[in-house]
Amino acid sequence: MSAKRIVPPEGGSAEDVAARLTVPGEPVLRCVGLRKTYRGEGAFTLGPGDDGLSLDVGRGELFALVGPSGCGKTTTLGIVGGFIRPDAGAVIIEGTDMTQRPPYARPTNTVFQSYALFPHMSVGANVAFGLAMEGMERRNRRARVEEALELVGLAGFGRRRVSELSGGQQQRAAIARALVKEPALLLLDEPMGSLDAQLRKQMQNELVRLKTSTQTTFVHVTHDQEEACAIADRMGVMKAGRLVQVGTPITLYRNPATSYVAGFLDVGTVIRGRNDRHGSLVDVSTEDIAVRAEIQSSTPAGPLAAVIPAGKLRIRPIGDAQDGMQASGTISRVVFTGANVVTYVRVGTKLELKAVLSADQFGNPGTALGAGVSVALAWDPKDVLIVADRDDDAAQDGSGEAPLDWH
Amino acid sequence: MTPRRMGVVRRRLTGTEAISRVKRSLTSRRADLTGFAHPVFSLPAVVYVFIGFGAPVGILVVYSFWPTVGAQVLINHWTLSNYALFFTDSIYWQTLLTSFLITTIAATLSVATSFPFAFFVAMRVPPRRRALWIVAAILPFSVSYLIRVFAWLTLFGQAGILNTTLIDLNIIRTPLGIFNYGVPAMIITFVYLLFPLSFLASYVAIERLDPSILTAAGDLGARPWQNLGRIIVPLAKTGLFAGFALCFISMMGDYVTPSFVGGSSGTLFISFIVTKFGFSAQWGLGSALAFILLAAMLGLLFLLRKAVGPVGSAGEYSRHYVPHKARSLRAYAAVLLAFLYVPIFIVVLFAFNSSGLIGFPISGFTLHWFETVFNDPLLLSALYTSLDVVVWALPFSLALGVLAAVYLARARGRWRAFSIGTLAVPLCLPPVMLGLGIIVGLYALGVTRGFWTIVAAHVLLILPTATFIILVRLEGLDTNLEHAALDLGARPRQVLLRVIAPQAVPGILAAALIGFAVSIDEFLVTYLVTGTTVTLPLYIYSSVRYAMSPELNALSSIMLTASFVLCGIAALILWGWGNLRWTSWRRVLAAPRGTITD
Repeated sequence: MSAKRIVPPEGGSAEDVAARLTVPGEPVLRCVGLRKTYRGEGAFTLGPGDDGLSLDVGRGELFALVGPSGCGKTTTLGIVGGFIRPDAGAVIIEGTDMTQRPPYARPTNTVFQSYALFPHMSVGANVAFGLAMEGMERRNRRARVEEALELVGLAGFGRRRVSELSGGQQQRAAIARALVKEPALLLLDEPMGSLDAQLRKQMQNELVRLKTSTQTTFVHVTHDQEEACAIADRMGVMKAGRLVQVGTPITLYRNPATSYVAGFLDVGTVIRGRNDRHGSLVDVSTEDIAVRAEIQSSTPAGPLAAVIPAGKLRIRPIGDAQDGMQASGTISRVVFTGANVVTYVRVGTKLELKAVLSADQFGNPGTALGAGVSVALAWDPKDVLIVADRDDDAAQDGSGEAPLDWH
Repeated sequence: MTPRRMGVVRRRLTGTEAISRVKRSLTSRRADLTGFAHPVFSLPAVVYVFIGFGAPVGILVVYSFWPTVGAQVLINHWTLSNYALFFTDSIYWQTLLTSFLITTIAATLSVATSFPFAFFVAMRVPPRRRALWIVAAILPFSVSYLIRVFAWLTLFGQAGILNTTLIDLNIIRTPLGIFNYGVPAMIITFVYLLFPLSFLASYVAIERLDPSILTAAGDLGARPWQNLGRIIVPLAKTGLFAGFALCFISMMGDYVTPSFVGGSSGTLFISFIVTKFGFSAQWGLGSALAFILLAAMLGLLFLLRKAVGPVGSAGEYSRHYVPHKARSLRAYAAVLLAFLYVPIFIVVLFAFNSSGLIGFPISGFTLHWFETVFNDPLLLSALYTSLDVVVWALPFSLALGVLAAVYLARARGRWRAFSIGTLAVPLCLPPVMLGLGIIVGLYALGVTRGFWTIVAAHVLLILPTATFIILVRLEGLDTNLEHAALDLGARPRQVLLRVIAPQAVPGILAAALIGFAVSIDEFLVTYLVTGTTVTLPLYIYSSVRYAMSPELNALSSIMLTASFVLCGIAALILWGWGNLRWTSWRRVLAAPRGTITD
């Protein structure tokens, strides 16, 4: 057991930490300097930097932790829920340090990825279990259970066996079981993982409705960035055990901090290459393309990458008016997604640019866009985003242990 | 960061590899939150088996190096003469070779006959009806081992039912040698007795195959027989090998079958060992022969294992099912089922025959033989003793087994591996070694043999099986269920009582039933460790030796009925567990509609 190292919440150990703690009022959940190292095969460290992993979640928020498999989001959730003891750092829930408390002594409840409904109990007994553990009397439980089931749309299902429920219903039951205890914090561990696309959309809406109606704070773990954007008030993007960027989905989308975040959120085409600074301008160039953009006061030091948002890239067949053309290429692939048309344009040898056009734009008569057509590309330099050119792998800064390469 | 770790990091993982690593790491990374992963839980079981099995076998090793003079073991004189005798006296090594040959033939036949049946049930029977076929195939084997041998005893022989019936039907004039007691009779009996072992081993292996593999092979142009040779057998070979090994070990350790139907030509090596501990009292030689048998068996199985090759992954378990007619397989399965039931049927039939001789023709209906069973004081006392042994041995085994399983299901590391290894040893060795070891051990300690030595031996026999059955059940449970209970406010004790225990009940029940069956049916070890105490199998054994009487048929019929009833109850409890729970009954009895109960 390594010595516990609790960074006091007020301690300005790093400005980075302070920047993340931007929750109005007293946060419901405050994680400070969390670190957990797993050795041996598949060695992995959560919070590999000097400061560990810190995070605040405000009252009534739906906070999504999002990142690829193995980035540490479930480990973080496990530490908050009390299933995993961190090597360092503290978990503070509603102002009380809960780091050393077992799960049963924490005001948190978890919806597990596998739902973990007790198969030997009825749905009602599952929901009542937590209340029974509090020592609540049977007749008082009944009303609460009925209420919780009604909340998730399972009114009248109390006597069913768990095995008689469909996947979506099981998930609702698992949520009811966690919500009935009126936790300060509801933790959801990839709860949509095993649902089909249709049901997933429906449950996402349901979750937002539940959050609003119960005023409960949610921490939601998912690897699906679309899901996170759709439901979260704020989200944290993780990679290799660290929290790379935290903010509202729209902030993250408009101002991704690093090339990794931009790529993970699929903001647009990330161009990584040589940096040439000219005063307040920077040229990011590869052998295929050169992109010029303005350096902002918020632009970080170090190598930069340029992101051309997919919605801001204009394409026209070559031969039309060539004004404002910045590059040319050949359409390699066209993907219809209903309202939009995603067009991939090959530029040079390696680069593929992504453009999202509305179906109207694309289907304009006279514009013969399609695979193989040579096109001119244009974008407004003001729309180009400048981000830190970083993969956000822990190995890069040399401190901590390298995680497994999961890809 | 060490260079070695860098190497690990840099190596690229395939998708499935990465996923399995994540899964594994997530389970192993969860801390033990309940405190049940404490080694102290498995300590009683491990210590019991370690001392109860290790010590006697250790003493047996020592004795095998001490010479026998007269009927007394000469202490403290180390010699290899016992082992040398095996090689110099040709009767020993010749019998060992013959035994190997006979058991190899019988094990091969057993695997070969049960494989098509297993294939039929696993691949061609719709999943919903599979359990029915399995139960139908296994049910005859819920009958006492001795009675199953006894059934074949009545079929074979000069005056056995096979010969007399054929003569009565004027098909043959004189009794056929092949139906007399001897090697063929023994092999047929073995194939019959070992059917469940080879069937289940093959079944488990085949059931894991995804039927779409066969469809794919067919699509690529493989004929059915090519499918068999190139796809099914290679993928199921570990199952086939396991079936063969189980049959082989059981036969090499079987003392009853050769002594009943083996005749004069069918003496197996095991008989030498048992007699050395019986009236000829040459314990040193007997011990040496036992270890030679063990070494030869393990050596042979090891070589065979090498020949079979590495364990091919048989694929993830899939519940896919491709409907298929398979008429000839179905016919074969029906014939095999008949083969399994005919001896049982014969046993019951002659329980109601008024003639005192077991054989055709049927002379009339009577219940007389059942009367004699219930009026036989020796039989009743033997039955009472058997039940008494179970009453002591079973709860003790289950208690130790549950504790050990609770630990083993969640622990990792060396002590777990050691515990599992220790508990598995008695399952891998022929029971005769255990029996012999115990006699010698008790003698060395100066303990008188009797009721309590039988109980102690039965605990040794039941404990490992019970532990592993309960372990399988507990390991199948989602650890997240425990985490969910803790998360909802349950203390570790409440998790054990309200989440783990209710779900472990089917496993404990199954362990109890199997333990009961093992204890009530156990012959060889009991035969060796008993003093003057007579259990039911010992009674049956001695009466069969003495004279074959329809009274035994009546007794067998009663036991058969009892087994069927027990199996029925077990099935009802296991399958209908959810519906038999007290809360359900309470709900049915008391609940007005629309209320939610917990």
